Amino acid sequence: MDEEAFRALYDRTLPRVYGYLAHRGGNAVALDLTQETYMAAAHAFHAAAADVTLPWLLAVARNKLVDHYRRAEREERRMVRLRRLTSRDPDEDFLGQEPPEISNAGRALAALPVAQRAALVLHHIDDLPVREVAHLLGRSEEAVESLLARGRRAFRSHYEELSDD
Amino acid sequence: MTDDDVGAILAALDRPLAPPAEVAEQMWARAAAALRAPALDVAGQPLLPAPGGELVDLVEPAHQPAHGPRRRRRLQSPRSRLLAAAAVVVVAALVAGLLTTLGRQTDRVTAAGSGTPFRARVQASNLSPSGPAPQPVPVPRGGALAPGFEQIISHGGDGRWRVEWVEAPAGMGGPGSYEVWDRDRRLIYRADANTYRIEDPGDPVTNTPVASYVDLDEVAEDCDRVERVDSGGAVANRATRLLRCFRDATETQPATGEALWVDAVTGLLLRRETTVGGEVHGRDEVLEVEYSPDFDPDTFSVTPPEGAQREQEEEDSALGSVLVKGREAPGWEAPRLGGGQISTSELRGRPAIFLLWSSWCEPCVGDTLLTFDRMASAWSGQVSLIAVAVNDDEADAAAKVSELGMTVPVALDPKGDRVKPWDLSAVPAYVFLDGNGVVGAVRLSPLAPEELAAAIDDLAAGRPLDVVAEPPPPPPCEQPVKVEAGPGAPGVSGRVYFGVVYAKGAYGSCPVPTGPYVITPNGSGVRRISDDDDFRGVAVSSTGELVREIWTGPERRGAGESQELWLVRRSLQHRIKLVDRGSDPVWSHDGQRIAFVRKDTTGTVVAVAVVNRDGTGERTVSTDQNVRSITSRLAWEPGDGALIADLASAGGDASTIARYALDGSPPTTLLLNASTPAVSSRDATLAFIHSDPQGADHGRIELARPDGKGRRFLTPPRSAAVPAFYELDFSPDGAWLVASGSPDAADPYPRRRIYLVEVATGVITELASLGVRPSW
Repeated sequence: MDEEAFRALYDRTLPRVYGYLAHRGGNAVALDLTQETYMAAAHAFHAAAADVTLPWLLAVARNKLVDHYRRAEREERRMVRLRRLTSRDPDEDFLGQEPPEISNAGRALAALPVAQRAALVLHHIDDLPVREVAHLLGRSEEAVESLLARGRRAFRSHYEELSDD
Repeated sequence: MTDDDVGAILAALDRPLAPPAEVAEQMWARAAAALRAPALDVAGQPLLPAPGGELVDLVEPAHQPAHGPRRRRRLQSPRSRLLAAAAVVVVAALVAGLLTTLGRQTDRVTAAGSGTPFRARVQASNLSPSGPAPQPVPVPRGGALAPGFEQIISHGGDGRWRVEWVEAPAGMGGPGSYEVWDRDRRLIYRADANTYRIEDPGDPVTNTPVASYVDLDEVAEDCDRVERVDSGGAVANRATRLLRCFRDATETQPATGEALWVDAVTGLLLRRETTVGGEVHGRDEVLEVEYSPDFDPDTFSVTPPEGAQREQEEEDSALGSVLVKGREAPGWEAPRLGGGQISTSELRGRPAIFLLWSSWCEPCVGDTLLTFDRMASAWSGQVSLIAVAVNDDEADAAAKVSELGMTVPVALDPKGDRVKPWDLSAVPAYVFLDGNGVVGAVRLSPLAPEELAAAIDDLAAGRPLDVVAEPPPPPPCEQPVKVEAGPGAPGVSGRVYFGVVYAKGAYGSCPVPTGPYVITPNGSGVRRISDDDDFRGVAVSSTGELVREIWTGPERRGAGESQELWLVRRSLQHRIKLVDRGSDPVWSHDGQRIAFVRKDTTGTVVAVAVVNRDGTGERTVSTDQNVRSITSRLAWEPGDGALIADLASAGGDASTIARYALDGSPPTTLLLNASTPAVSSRDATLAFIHSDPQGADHGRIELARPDGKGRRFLTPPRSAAVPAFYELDFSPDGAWLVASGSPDAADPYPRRRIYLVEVATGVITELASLGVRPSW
């Protein structure tokens, strides 16, 4: 097996994969899912089961992110006592090195309930049609439209607040 | 800022970002190790002969050095620790790609060869980037192994297991972490924190279907089509048999396939490959196995390792330092749902109670809000009650308010900044203020109606409030709730399904192992099929097909309008949806039709209907609303020409059994003082329960001829030794009845037991120590 080729792929694609996950899920989630994505890639590469390319990696990463959202949403519902009332601290300062408009957007996104965040990410960042988002999130298209509307409203207010500071 | 602006700001997030170089290198090290792992392909390997129990040398597993990136910051606060515990579950499950967890841990395994101790090194790989994983086979330890990670699984026979991480994902405790089950107790040790936890076996999080004993015949019954290969080649140097199982697409799942390689000698599952839409999705595989190894004496010990600390799971108090009994509370102002403002200063002069809630908070909505709303009406004019929707979108809060029909004033605080001066960090929270705005009490969990009423009474009268901020934790569980198999009927085969249901308070603080169960009538192989907590029974046809009702509504469990009927597999997973609204299904004797009832939102039966086994031909037979709504039980008359159902008689508790012709003509009474009919498929004997709540014969099983004549008691009156019976079903050969019953005169529904009664003799034996709604 060609470890060198895999290393080259890794170096070339890591910022894309990690950036994809970090801007949508935050640092901690991104580190976990990036590792998992490349573990899957290593196995696929090894078994020659798939043609491991950047689109393949991003597809794996997106699947893992959607799984994460689904799980996180369930946990969010279950662990109500643990959710802070007043403000949600951005879980990590993962965007510290980014320009302010990017880091503020990331933080505003992180402050949203998981379902809204998932809908905004998949529709507005990943540019997926509502139908596809509904399929990924296991909801109706109407539910996704409503999540998007509420998500945009909440995002706007968080974002403006952050920009005022 | 327009929606387009928001879209543009979000779209700008689609940009690369490099992780710190050090982290990138650590991740690379793991990926590269996976790349260098020995080939999984067994083709061409020498096939060992498969002598009975012959052992294969176990190559000592290469323990990877215990490092790898620190991918999760060390957790500091107890709150984060709890979140991390959740994250463990999240990671474990999500990496396997939505694997449904089936076949939770049970004490017994029915498969051939079960009990042979072994030690195996297993590895899992997620091979496909897309699609949900198919249903896994039921195994003694449910769960999913994270792809790309390795475990050593040891089985000591007789319910003892040890699962040790060789490579573990973040949150699992890292390499060296392990879990040990010793039948009734489980030790979970996390190497990275040197902590341990001991608990009753609950939901295992670090498992894989492979390295467990599987009965391929049993698995085959859960497939739509199967292919069997007697020689499946070598896996882990063992000769195997191979089963390919195909499941057709359903409304909720795409077509899936599963290939299972089991050890030809021992029946141990050595490799499992799943396919979705024809593509290989994932593979769990035993890399090495050794049978009957010399286990270290400590292998299955649930004694924590020396020096390990017990995990503490205390919670931060959500009560900040601002609201102190006897001190004036800070004020705030917030918009009112429907218009206007609510301000604490304007509420002065009269005692006020605030309930902070959110529509996403399950303990807040439902009874908690409804009780609060009711009290608001009852005390209006004397005490102000205000519901404050905190951290909740206005639309969500408004929807909940209208769904519950609430009239109490609702303040809106979508960002949680309005009530911030109170420094509370959890919902639900009650704040009691007197007319001067002085804190009388704060409460951080739901109050029972009588507690809330007493508190309002005290507040209105100016008395000190007897409300503690948080109720004391429940006493520890003294007597774990378990489903134990009874002696049953030796030599009788088949399967009996039943359920264990949750009921508030029935078991104190002990966790209840709710869900559907299956047991062999000879008392062996009791298995929990899933951890569903709303199991309402399955109906088994003469050909072994299963129908169950599945609750689909968002709330109000048991409400009839959200019950669907599905044809399901042995694993009780969905197969074909039959009707959108139906409960209490019963198969016709020929296995072609299903009778059921429709219920309204209060659970009252509003119609009796039938549908064909493929979901076609649904039609209403009767809209007689006297059919019992709680233990409603339908039966088919011999020949499937009419239905028999029990009716609650007007003005009394005793039931009658009536006959409904399928042509819709009015029902005719068949039996008085009788409920829960069942009809033998063999000789059309009618079995039912004597119904006479005040009488000594209540709860006895009776038999009669199909026309209701020749009534006779089968079981003696209730006594210390004889239970009262409630739900009945015949065995397919008509020789046995399976029934739920309770020797306790109070009949605690959730604590009923399952019994077998021989039709020829009336002999009663216990089959399971807990269960309701049995079917055979």
